[in-house]
Order: sequence, then C-alpha cells, then structure tokens
Amino acid sequence: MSTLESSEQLLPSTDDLMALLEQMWDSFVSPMPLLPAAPAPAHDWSTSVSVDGAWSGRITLYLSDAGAQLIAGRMLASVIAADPAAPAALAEEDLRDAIGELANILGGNLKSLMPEPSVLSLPVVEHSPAAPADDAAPRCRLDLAWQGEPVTVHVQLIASN
Amino acid sequence: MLYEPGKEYLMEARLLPLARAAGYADVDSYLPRIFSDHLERQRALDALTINETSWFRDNTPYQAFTDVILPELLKARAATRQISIWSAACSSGQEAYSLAMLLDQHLPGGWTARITATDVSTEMVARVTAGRYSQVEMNRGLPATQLIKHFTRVGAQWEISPRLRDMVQARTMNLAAPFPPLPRFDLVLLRNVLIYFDLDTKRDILRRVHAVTAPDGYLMLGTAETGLEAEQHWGRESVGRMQLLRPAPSATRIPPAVPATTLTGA
Amino acid sequence: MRALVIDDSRTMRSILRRVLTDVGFEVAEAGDGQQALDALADGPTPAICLIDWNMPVMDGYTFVTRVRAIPEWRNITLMMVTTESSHNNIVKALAAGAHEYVIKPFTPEAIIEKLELLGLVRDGAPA
Repeated sequence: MSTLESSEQLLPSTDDLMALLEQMWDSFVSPMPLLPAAPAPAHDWSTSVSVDGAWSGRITLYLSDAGAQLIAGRMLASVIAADPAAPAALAEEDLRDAIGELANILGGNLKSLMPEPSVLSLPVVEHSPAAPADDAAPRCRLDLAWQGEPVTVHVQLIASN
Repeated sequence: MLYEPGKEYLMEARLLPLARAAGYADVDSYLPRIFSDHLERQRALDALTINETSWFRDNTPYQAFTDVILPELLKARAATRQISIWSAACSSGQEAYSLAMLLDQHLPGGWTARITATDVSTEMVARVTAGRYSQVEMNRGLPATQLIKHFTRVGAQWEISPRLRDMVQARTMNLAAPFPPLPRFDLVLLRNVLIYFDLDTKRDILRRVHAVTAPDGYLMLGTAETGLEAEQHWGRESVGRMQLLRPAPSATRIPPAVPATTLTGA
Repeated sequence: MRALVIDDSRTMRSILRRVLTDVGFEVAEAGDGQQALDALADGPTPAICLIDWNMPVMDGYTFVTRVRAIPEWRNITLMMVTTESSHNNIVKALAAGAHEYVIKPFTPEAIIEKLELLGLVRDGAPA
C-alpha cells in the first residue's frame, strides 16, 4: 500500500465537478437549478462510489430525507414529462437504487476525467451516515441546495492499493 | 423552441441562473431587463434554446450536401479548388463543424474549404472559436466514429481538432444590419433564423444574401421553412426530401444597401 | 421492434425503458452481461442492445466482444450507454464492435437521435 502523497494525485476542479453535476441533474432529475448554499448541518443519506487505480478517490453525495425522496421520485417518474408536483413516498429499495445511480454517474464521469486505468466500485448507500470528515485531507467540495434541500458533494483522494 | 403549456417551469429554470448573474433575485424582476437590454435578451434566448442544437441536425441537409451539393461544387470549382461556405446564425457552431467533418471526409487532396460562421451573439462566436462542447452536447446526433476522430477531452469537455477548427472562422454579425465585407459563398446555410424577423427584414436579408452568393451557389433554409412564394432572388430546386434555393438569374447584381432607418434587432 | 436494456441499475433501466417505449419499442431488461447473453440465447433477438459498461458478473465491454463473435447475432445493433467517456475507452468499445456510444448523463432526445442515426427510428417510430 503506497502512502498518499497529495502532490502526486489530482483533484477535479470545482468547475468540472459542478458541470458534471449540473448535466446529470438536468438530464435525470430536474431543470430547476442547484444553487450555492451554506454547508448543511446534517445529512440523512450518503451515496458514494470509489475509484481505484491510476487515480484513487471517493465521491460522495449527501442528501436530506426530503431531498432524497424528491430526487429519486424525479428520476423514477421522470424523463419526458417531469411533473413538478411532489410524488408519493417511494419504497426504500427504489430510493436507494436511484441515489446510488447518482453516485455511479457522477463517479463514473469523474473517473473518465482522471488518470486511467482505474476501477469504479458499486455504489454504497447509507442512511444516517457518519458526517463527512472535516479534516485537512485534500478534497473538492460543493455545498449546494436544490428546491430548498441540501445537496453536498465531496471528492476526496484515497491511498491506492 | 416551443414550450408547451405546463412547462413554464422549464423557462423559469433556464432563466433563473441568468437572473442571478445579472443581480436579480428572481426571474420576474429580471424580465424587464430582457426586454430593454439587447445583451441580456440574447443571453436569455441562448439559455432557452440550449437543448435545440444537435450535430448534423435534421440529417437531410447534410445528406444533400454530401450527395448533391459537394459533388456539384467539386465539378464547378475545379479551376480554383476552393469552396466557401457561410453558416449564418451559427449559434455554438455544431452546424459549421458538422460541415467541416463532412469536408474532411469528402474533400479531395489539393482542395481548401473555408467556413465562415457568424452570429449576433459574441458569446456564441467565442464558443465557436473555442470549439469546446460539454458531454451532453456531444451526445446530440454525433456519430461516435466522428467523436473519436475529431475530438479530444479537455477536462469535462470535448475539444474539436485544430485541423477542423482551422476550417472555420467565426465572427459576430447582425443579419438585419448591412453586411461587412464578405467573400463570395458557394453555399449559405440560413437555417431556422429567418423566423425571428418580420417579412420586410426577411426579404431584405434574402436580397443581401443573394448578393454574396455565387450565381451557381446554394442556399439552405430550415427544413420546415417555407413562405418564399413572393421571393424574387431565389428559385427552388428539389433534392430528395430537401428544397434547395438557387440564386435567380438577375441582370444586375444588387450591391449591399445603405443602412435602413430602423433596424430590427436579431 | 425489440430492445434489450442492459444495466445493473433498476433506475437507469426504467429511464431507458421509458424513452424506448415512447418511440414504440418493446423492451426487455438484463442486469449484467451474463444475464443479457442468456436473454439473447433464450429469447427473441432484439434489434438493439443498450449496454452499460460497469456491471458485476460480466461487464458491457466483455458482452460486446462475446456478441460480435457469434455469427447469428451479427445484425444486432450494439450501443454503449455509459459513464466511461475517456477517448481510449470509446475507441476500445468501437474497436470491439460497438456501433454507437452514448455518454451518461443523456437526455431522451439524445437517445432518439442516435436511434435515428442508426436507422432504427424514423419520424418518431420504429423504422
């Protein structure tokens, strides 16, 4: 296991990260925008993928309960005629698959930006996750809100195996 | 660019970032600015039509170019071996670069092609010059083989090759105003833009485009555009499913006009 | 006309199903490359497969190489629909025999335009 030397590894720019996130949102969630927001005090859901290889990192999205319901509802009911009205509560299985796919898409896009070859993990979705680490480790971070619900994205480097 | 009833929220969503960038809290307070400020109006139009641009849009015109127009021009221009094309109202440049891809594929050695791409928006012109496109833009109508042949990744975007970018020269221009000096064109694409002008301005544009088109040249309008029955400068020629316009012979070639007293904004 | 959607995400399969049924396709689904091969072997041959790259058991790239090796399946159109979007990987997939490539995320229009490009859809219906 190599020691992490941050000078050897890149982080995506926040501009690139935001562009990828917005395109994903626009295509699969909603045209209503993601807006800059104050850091959310708590997170109800986390969904993450890791990338391992020439570039190694973890990409995590944090969502509120209400946000996760709305977002997953849009993705599943979605595509051609997105209905602005809030959908009924989703089965947890469906919600997990939907927000897992968000991490998969964002992580997969980032993987393609970073040095390759590398392997993309399956998404890991957690309810009531640990708070995102607030340490000095290098990371790329976006604190956003969508329809008044927090959307937080962390990209952090991890030591490659 | 038609928004069905019930999809007003789509317009709102697209205009909100612009409203905020211009210093307004919401779209309602931003709207008067769109009407009074030409630049904001153009930005708003750009934002609202963001999903409209594809590569090889509608396909038929590009098929007509490859099957009919280019072979004809290769015969007609054998002496100079130069082809000059105008992509008018080029927006972000997919039309101009789609033609560049076809030329790269079909133009014989020893020939040069120049594509002049113009738009009233300086932002769009800058985009064409940069030749960079987002992933979602790259998905729109571009064959994968063309993607890998002509583009490389730059961050989250894709950039067109220098070879193709060199074929295209982009500049700002307002169609409703007198044209700056322009080369003589063998093919003019004026697709889906005349609809934004009133009838008099439309006729005037067609007259001035005629003046910069070679007598054996071609004009392409949008696939659904009609209504030129009274147009004296152009005659129609059917090519497959496509209608092409050819300059009507005129005894005197009309030089570009002195500016009119009122100009409708594009 | 039949389409086979191959992706390990139920959400993504339902998004693609929606687009395809809207333009008149019958849609079958598979959760990985192996399930997809089984579906091809057991069931009616689809006109097109829409294929994710990263999947457990058998990934989309491997599925493409397997399908292209079978003469009976040479007429099936293979379209990658994936986040894998490095220039190298797109070249790799096309070299292995994929006919088209859509980068996730995509809009419904993008899928339909690719289907038109491939001659499978015309004027909003199966060609």
